[in-house]
Amino acid sequence: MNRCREIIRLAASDVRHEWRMSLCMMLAVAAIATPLLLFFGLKYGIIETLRQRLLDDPSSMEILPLTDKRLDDAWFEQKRNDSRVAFVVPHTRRLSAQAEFSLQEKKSKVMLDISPTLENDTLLLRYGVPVPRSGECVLTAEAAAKLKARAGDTLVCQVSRDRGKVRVSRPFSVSAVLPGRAGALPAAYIRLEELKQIEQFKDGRAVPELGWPGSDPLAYPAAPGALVALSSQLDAVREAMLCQNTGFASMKRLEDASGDLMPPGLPEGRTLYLLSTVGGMADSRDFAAVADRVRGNDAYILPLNGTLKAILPADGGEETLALLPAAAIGRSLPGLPLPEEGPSWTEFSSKPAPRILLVAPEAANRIGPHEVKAKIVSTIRAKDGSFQEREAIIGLKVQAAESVPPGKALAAPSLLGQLGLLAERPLVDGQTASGVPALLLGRRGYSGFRMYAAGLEQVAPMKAALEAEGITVSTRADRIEEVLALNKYLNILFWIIAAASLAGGMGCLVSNVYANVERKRKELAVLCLLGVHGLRLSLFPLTSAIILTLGGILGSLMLFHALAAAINSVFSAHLAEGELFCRLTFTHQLAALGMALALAVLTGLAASRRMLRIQPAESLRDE
Amino acid sequence: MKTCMAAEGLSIRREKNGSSFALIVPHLEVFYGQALAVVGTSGCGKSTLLDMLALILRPDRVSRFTLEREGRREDLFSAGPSRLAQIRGTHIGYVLQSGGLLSFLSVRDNILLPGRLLGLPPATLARRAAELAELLGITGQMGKKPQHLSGGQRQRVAIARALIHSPALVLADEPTAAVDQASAEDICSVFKTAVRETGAALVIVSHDRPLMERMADAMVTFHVEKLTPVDARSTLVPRENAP
Repeated sequence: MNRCREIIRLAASDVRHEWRMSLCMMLAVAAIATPLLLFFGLKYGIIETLRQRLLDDPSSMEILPLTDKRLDDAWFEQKRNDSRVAFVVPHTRRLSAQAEFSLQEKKSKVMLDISPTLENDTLLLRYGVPVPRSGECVLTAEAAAKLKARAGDTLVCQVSRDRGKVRVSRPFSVSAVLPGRAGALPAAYIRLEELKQIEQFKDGRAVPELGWPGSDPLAYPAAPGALVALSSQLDAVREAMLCQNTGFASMKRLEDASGDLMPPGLPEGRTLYLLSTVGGMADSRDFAAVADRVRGNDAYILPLNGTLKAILPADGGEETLALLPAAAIGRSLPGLPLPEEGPSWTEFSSKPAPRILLVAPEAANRIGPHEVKAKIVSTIRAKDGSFQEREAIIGLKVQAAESVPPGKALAAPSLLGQLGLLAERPLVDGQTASGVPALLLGRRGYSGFRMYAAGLEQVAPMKAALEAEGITVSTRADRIEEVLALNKYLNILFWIIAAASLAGGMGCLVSNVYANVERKRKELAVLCLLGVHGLRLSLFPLTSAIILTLGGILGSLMLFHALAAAINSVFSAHLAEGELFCRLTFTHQLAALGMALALAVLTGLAASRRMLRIQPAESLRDE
Repeated sequence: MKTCMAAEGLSIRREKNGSSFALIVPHLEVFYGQALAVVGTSGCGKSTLLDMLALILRPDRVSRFTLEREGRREDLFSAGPSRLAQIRGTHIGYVLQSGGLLSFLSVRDNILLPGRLLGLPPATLARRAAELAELLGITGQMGKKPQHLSGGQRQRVAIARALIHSPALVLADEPTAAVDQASAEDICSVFKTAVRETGAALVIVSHDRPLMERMADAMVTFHVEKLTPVDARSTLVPRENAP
């Protein structure tokens, strides 16, 4: 151990003694390592900066649809549960998502695009902006500049329809202003439900919550079939007329009044015709047309809908009942107490249907309290043959009636007709502008959305998944791909240069150390005479090589830091806070040091292998 | 007189540039306290002999090659390279033709180096170095680097280095070849004095026969035969038997 320390000390003294020569060798190492470090620093710095920029910019994760395929709530629910999706919010039609905003005290109005937002909005969260609550909005920098508004101000939002003839307004307080990086367009972010209200108003409908005038989106009646009971049979021509421009496609004369769809209470001795559509629904005008064709035959016309079921809460579970009409249109049936005179279908749109279900007494007993929230389910066969169900929850009153057969429930034809619309679109149990409970048309779906993938790597797969569903989307996947490709090419380039430099550096080091051994032959021979032998002797050139290489690499790192600082300050105008064009992590620097050390040891060992072959006797007198 | 190193029937053959040279040592014995001079003309095998005695050149054949130290006799032919290196470091001191000092060490560190490599106590070493420097007249040079010394001073430093660890055998290879006659006399006399003080055996190789005759206790030389133009044979003979 003593000897080893002594040899290391000797080698260090030698390096110090020949400091000019040592400096030359260190400089040679530094000359090779510095450009390599710089290049790697630039590659790492640039790629990291680009990557960080992409990561920092929510728009790189943004996925926007290019098609206007209608998407329903179930679709959004499914996407929200997709782990590749960080956030998705439906968007209303673009045209209805515009409104004029102004600062309360000033007159100048600015037209802003309105974007819907919800909790966990990636865009807002990225810029540290809380999602607006009801009555609040977040402005983009451009919008705030145009309005001269700041956070805390209250804006008046004015919405108009019918070319400005009908105008309403409501206040929004500005909860925050997004920075300029978040988007260049003048826009306001408000809650989705508030944008839906604006859209509703623009569509001509009333918004009772805000007192905005307009029509009520009442559900209109429709049915896929009709039962016509006449006092006498029609002749062939008039029978054929039943399916001419009436909305019905087929007609069948029934021999008797039995059958599952047959409502109770039809008067005896009638001729029965069953009309049905193909796929679509017949509406009130179609029924009026049928009534016109059978005028003078004392007709009872009843809507039929075999796709509807009512599911009512009952003792020990649920009571599932098929729905049948409790009356003919505008006419009660002799055997049945029509609970309330319903309107005829032609005058329907102004009056809500009576909310009464007639059920058999045993069923009525099971159902218990007779004010119930009934689940109405419509089962429709889709084009591809599968069955789709749509449901609506509706408040109803249940009433017992002796003549109702078990398993059935009877409803006024207007109610049956309104519920029949479920086959085509969602229905909502709501209120009219005047506060009357009514079945209202629900949203058919959304034509757009704003989606953010969970990460850079999820953008491309999500795009592919959406396009497989037939939704063409626009993303910045190509930009991400570019950065990844750039990284790959720079890597290849780097390794080519690194390999050349490493080969050069190794050659330089090896030749340096070899030359050193050659120069030190006599000294080494003297050490050999003094009894230093084998591996201990090779410690001498090994130590020199390590000292010279480490010196070179440390000098190189110092140079690198100086140059990197210079590069970063030159490009500082293009860099954001914390971004560096040229940088190496501590680990990188440690790795560079480690690699150089390994190289030095290898070279030192190679040189000492040669030295061990030198006969001291040969060296002593070679002068 | 006690034997330090003894060799019998030792031979080595070396080839160089197509010519061959054989050195034969029928008998050689070096005694403690004795200065043995090896004289001869250039190329007679002086250095080859010295390298073999210094254990850095291994003879081809030998019937006896031993080192005796404090009653123990060690066989030098059968010892491995690392044992030989150990013996070299511990029991042999070597004075090279031009000093062989390490340029990156000061005079003091050069002198102390063999002792340090052996791990001898620093205090003992320092005292011994001071004594040797005093004896050799180089006390004033201890802090200098070798390149600032004269040739004679370097030889004195080399002698001090060869003696610092009290070796059993001191070998000197033309220690006075690079200095003038007067200095050579001086150096030889202090050298001899210093070695005598340690009781070590001394072998000096020199081509300066008159100087050696004055200072050596015994002398050997070589009998060279040219067998062919490219083949020579040199045999070590005692001085008395030299032609």
